[in-house]
Amino acid sequence: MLSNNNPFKRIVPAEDLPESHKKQVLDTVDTAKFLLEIANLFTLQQAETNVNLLSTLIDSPNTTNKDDFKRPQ
Amino acid sequence: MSVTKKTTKSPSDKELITQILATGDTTLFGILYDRYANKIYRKCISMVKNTEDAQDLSHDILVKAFLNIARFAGNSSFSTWLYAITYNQCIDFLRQRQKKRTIEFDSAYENIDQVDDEETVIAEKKLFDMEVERLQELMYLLSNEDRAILLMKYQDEMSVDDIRQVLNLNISAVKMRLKRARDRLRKHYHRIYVKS
Repeated sequence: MLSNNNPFKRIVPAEDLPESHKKQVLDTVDTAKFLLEIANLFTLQQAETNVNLLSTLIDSPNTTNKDDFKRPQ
Repeated sequence: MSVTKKTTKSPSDKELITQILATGDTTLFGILYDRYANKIYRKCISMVKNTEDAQDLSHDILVKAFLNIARFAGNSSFSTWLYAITYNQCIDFLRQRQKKRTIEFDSAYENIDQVDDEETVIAEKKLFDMEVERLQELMYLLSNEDRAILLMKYQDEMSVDDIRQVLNLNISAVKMRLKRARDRLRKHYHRIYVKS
């Protein structure tokens, strides 16, 4: 069998990553995740909130003058 | 008296990924780290030959994997997907480091559409007869692309279909690249060890 003789299997390095590496990776992942959440908050969610707020104000029966929310001509 | 055996089965890669996507829990990614980090690291050493660079690359590959985990479609195994990121990241790194390297192009291969299976077996036998130290030395004389495809095929024992997915090529192109890489390795072997 070819695979019994395979010298490519014998040139695999034997080194292991240092213990601290896992912490570094998970810390970076946490930071990246946090930054993505912040970016999401100020882009998608901000826009969504603005739209919701405006539609609530426009649809509210207490709104005295709906023309206030219209663009001036 | 009945004894109930409670077997704790560790979750599969796909189960873990589903949980990560649902919860965003980075500690679950730690389990995937434990499964694959050293394999990625060793692959990086094989590619870049330097442990410090290999550590930095492993870090970047694992972070990239987490950030893109939603894109893992499940068409291949998670390890194949991870190796795709690993090889591509290593090749990009080496390209940047070397800036420019002329890749030898042998026009003799241009018109070959199919690689004969029997010819492949004979070529593999010749490769497998090489001594380990010589093979290790010769691998670094190859281009990054040749080294990567030989490692995928003979060290990771990836199928041609898996390699096709990693390199985004069709099956005949993968077979052709494998043949070229084997031929170049043999050429180096003859130039260095047979002629001298």
